[in-house]
Amino acid sequence: VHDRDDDPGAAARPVSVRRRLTTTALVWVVGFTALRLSFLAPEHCPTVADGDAVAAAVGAGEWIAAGQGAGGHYLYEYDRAADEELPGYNMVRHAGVTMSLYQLADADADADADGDEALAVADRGLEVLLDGLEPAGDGLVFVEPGRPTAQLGASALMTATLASRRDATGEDTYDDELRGLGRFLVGQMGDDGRMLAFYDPASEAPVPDETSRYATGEAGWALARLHTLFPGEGWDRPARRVLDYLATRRDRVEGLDFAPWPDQWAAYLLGELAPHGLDAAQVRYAGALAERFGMLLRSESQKGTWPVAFVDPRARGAGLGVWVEGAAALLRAAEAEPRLAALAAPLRDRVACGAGILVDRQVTADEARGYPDPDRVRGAWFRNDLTRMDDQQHVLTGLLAAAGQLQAGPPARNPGGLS
Amino acid sequence: VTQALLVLFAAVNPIATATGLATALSSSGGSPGAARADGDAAAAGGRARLITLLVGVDVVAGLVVLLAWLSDPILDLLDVSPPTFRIAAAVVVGASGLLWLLRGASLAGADDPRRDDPLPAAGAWRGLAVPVLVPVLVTPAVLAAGIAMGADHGVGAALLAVAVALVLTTLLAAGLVAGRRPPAVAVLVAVGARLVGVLAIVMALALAVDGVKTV
Repeated sequence: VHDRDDDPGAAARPVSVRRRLTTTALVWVVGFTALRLSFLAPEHCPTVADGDAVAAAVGAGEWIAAGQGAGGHYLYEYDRAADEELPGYNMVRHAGVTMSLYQLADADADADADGDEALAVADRGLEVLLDGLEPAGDGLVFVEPGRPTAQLGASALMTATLASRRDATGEDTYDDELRGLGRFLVGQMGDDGRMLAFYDPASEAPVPDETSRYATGEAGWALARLHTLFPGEGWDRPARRVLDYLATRRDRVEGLDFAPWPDQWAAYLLGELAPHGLDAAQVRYAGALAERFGMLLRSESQKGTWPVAFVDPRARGAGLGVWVEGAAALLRAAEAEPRLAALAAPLRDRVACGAGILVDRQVTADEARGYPDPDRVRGAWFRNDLTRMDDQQHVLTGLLAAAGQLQAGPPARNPGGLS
Repeated sequence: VTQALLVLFAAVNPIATATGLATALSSSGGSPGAARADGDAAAAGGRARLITLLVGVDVVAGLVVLLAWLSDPILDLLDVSPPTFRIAAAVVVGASGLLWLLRGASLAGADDPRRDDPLPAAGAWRGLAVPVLVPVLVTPAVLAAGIAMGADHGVGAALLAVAVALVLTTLLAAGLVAGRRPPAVAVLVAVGARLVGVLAIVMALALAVDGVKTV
């Protein structure tokens, strides 16, 4: 060991033990710190009970209800810092939001005013959709006023919306509309299960060659929902054709990179059909989707300690909500399909983690008071001061799907005194 | 078990590590004291170096097994799940593999002109901590791989895997310390260390993919 500080000739001599230890320790500390801030960041999964998830979902429903206009449309997008509604509207999202409110009404059916209010708000939203229904061949299609073509996704989610209303109310009021929409969906399908995303009311035909990464799964799931509601009517056959397409060809044919594309609608379709059996390719697809949603949820749980001074990596409410929805739907599939049974426990963990993060990120009443219009902030999920109605929709649905997979019992925490 | 064997073999890199150990323990590396040593002293020094080598290997083996055994509490302490740790371990093992690929055995000090003094026989024990354990035997890659394999495959698999890797390391190091080193050996060692570096990169990729694809 040499003391290089006292020896002018030390530069040519070997490295001292102290310097070697110091250098090694420095490299280890720097390396560990870099890992701890990135790949090895802690996974932060707040623990919540079923009651917390439902309470947060109710808060989301209240945000949607507070923003509903007289015509039945919802507040679409809002900037809380500027206290400003942003322009734009999307009827596919309108249908999705309405569906989520029926799911809330169904979940809260025992309870009281929350469920009744959600049902009333959803019914007003449904009127907007019913007003746009038009004949399409032997079926019915939703046509948005002012648009030259009808979107497959809007009709698919309207079908799911009516199915959710049937679940919530037990009423068969709209069964004819359900079947009419189902016939339209089948008419948009190619022989290989590919769904065409648009319909031209003028020519009364699908617009050729145009597909949508969202609408195919939405339509497949809507058809599967019809099979659940009306077993024996043959809705499962087209639903399975769509699932085959999604499971074996969609990502390649439609040029979606990094397959499988994390499609929560496909996950819903798998969850809906799993009790009736899945083939080997569908089981593989379910496993691949579970891996994708699991990775997305796991990495989201680590983002709390990422260096946010440089990046704001957190997913928006709709994104995280979608992942929870997808994982929960696959959990349902795993519970029904023995070949997926090994995925049930890890999926349950990921769903619980995602739900915990969602509850944690919901704006509380106390936090909302710091903004110009607290009523438009409380109960919502914001990123960069913006929220859009589907942020609440997907989170609401995801939290309701998670409820039942968390700790049983009433809320263990107060997610902001939302009510 | 196969994954544990391959990952820990790659993380240890017996060829590079043995070269580093041989460099650290050798009495023929140019030390003036060693050059003047007589026969008895050289024999005593050889025994001391061998014991130092064996103790060092035992210590690192014990450390890896201990970390594998404690992998669950360690992951709990870090607040991460096994797949997340697997990805982090892949980064560490992959980085080591890349360095070995680029620098060959010199990573462990064999070709480093500023390397530590070769240990004089009587001072072999003083070299146990530095440079035998740190930085040659105890490396981030070995420790990370030990924890990851313990979490994924259990302490038994980690024990078997690290034992295989370290027995090979010990035999190679002992051979390099005891024998002469013709130029061909140096070439083989440099190439072999790089090849194991490639294996480390491949195993790191496999670990990372495995971590990403775990629900």
